[in-house]
Amino acid sequence: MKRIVSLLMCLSMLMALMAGLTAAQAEEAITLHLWSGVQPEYGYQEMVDTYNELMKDKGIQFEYTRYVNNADGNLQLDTYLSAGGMVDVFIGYGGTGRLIPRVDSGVLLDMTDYLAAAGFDPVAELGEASVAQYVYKDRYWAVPTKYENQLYWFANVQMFEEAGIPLPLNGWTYAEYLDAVEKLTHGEGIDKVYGMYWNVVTMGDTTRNFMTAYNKPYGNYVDETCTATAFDQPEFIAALELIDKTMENGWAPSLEEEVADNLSLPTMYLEGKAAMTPAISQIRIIKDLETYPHDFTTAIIPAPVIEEADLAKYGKHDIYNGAGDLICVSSKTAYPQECMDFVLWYIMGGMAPLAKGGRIPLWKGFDPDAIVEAMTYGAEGVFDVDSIIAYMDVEKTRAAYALNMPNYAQSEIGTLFIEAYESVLYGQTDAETALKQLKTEADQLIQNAMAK
Amino acid sequence: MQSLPQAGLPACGPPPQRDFLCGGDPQDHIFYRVMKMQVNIKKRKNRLKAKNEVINFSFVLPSLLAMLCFSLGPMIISLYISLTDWNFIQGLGNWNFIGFSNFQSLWTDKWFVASLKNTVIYTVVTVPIGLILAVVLAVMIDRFCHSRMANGVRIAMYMPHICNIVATSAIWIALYSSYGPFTQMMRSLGWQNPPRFLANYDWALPAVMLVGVWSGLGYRVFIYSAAIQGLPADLYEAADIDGASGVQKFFRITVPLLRPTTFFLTITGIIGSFKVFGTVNVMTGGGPGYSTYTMVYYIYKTAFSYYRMGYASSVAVVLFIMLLIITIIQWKHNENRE
Repeated sequence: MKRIVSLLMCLSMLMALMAGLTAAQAEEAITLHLWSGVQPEYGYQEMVDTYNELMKDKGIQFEYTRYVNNADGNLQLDTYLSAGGMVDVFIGYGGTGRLIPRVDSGVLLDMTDYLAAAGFDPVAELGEASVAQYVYKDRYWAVPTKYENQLYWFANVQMFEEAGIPLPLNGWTYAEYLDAVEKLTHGEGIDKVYGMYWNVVTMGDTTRNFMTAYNKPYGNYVDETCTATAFDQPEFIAALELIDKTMENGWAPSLEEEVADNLSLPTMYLEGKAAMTPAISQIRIIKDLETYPHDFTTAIIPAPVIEEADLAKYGKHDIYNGAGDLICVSSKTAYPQECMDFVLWYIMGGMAPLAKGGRIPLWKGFDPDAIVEAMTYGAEGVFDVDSIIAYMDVEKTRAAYALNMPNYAQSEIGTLFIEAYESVLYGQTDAETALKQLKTEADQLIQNAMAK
Repeated sequence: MQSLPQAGLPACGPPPQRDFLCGGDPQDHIFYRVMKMQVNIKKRKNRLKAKNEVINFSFVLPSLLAMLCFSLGPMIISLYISLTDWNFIQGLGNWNFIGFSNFQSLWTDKWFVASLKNTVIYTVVTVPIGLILAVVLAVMIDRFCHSRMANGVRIAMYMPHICNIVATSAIWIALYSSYGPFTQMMRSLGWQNPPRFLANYDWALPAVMLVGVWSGLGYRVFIYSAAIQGLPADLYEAADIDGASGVQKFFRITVPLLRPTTFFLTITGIIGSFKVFGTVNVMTGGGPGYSTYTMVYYIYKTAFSYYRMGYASSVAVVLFIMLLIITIIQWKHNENRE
């Protein structure tokens, strides 16, 4: 009996050992990690699953992780990038403000030679205007993958029709905008419908982009040297005064209301309590009828410009390249070639499922009709298709500036910017005083940073 | 003279031949042998003591290592980092020594000055108010509540102290909203147009301070209640015989006797309020503007938004020095009492 028990034990141990060996062999497949700021259900998991199926035989598998694109989420990402190991490929946001410090700290892979070896010319494939801004030290550290012009806003088509206002698909002026926003505002108390919802709290970047619309792609700065800010320019002052005016007149919820009542895109625009809002990066939320049911149509319209004379030059905001979702590879990845293979696959077709979640691919090889079809798939009537086509057709060549922007206290200047426009919107001071003060303080920060 | 036999020791033998004073082997002498045994016992005791110390130390070692790794070590490193311009994203080791430059910059930095000022205001307001409310409530609970009910009240008051600060802050955000219960209560009390508390430059900090007082009240009441129950009853009986009123007893007996507890709560309250972060981060994010910046919030912002670890460490060092001074005062006070 003892012998039989011993024999059985030996057999079971042998089988366990063999199972372990088999598992070890299976684990030899390379697992790489993709990070992005969007929930997996908006096309990312489908995209990763497709790639994993394609690469099954080659033993390469990607795992998708969503990080939150805020200060805490980017801190988490930067920590992993510095330590190495948990991030191989990621989609970065925040433009050069976040890209350049990452390059300077050496956490990003220099993609230039890999792209050249694969015969992929970013300028030819994505457009010079889209790519140039992200060329730093004459090298490619990131490749933009998505078109998203933040100077385009959402508009409730039915509300515009009821107010008898034509959709300004070809641009409009501040005066026309103010006239419209007043007409669109009606009701009182809990039933009040606002002409505009700025969403300064959660979409502050978009509001700031509106204020810097004329100064793209230099943004906050006078020029590409980034040694002086441009906040005292009349265009900045006019934009801030416009925002303030809509809030003061009750045509938009005040900043106090936004903060105190925790207003958001779903509770304001999608509840039909505002006719317009700047939130182009949230196309996926507009389309998500299951979570945010609504029965009106959304058009994508350009933000207004100061006066008639600006319409021809800035009306369609083609000075803003709109290229975003920067795909990057960690310099600490053990498999740079495998990561670059994924990057190229992603850019040239792989990211197609994301169009269903509202992300418009930048690669010229995509069929625009297919993108529109994907964007409206499952959400017929939610978008005004003509406005989407007009939005995608914006000529972008004017935005071709190659910037090697230095990074002098950019984050701190961002904080000063927020404080300045908050002080105006809270009624503490006027736009001109606040922005002149902002320029003084920001320039001082730059001087301090340069002195170090 | 015959020497006396000692317990546990062999007899000495005839003294004339064996006495080392008289030319015998000194090592055989009773005094030498007693001394040798004492030395051996001492050595054995020392060995035992050392062994016990090693065993005791091995129990403490994990905590000690954790403290070294996660508390003392980072503290020392932080002291050094405060003298550098280290940026977090540049990775470990990319530290340029810049001396006291960070500390010099602090005093011209409007955000630091504001955070220091707000922290001091927060402390000066919340600690005394919290203590006064706590002692009054503790006495009232002790005096007017049935013992079973008193425990229930104390537990209910203690709950905010053990609740997650993020959860309680989120609840207070809702309470402070335009149509929230707190704002409505203010209206019903006759305040026609109460401000949006968290979105107002003048009211945001008081609103955060109110949450601080509320969340710390239960803990203080608990400590005061324990102290009150230990107060000698004969003093109150004597005061009753002398015809003292309730108020007189409170100010002449209770408050003086509670002085050690008050001192303890004052020191821990000051340290706690200097470290306030959670409520500010969740409820206001330092805003509007920088009207609710506190020192720890500014450390967090500088370190993890701007990645300026060197500068953030210098703020942390200033905070450390301030808390060290408070702790030394506490030590001195304890020494004086002893």
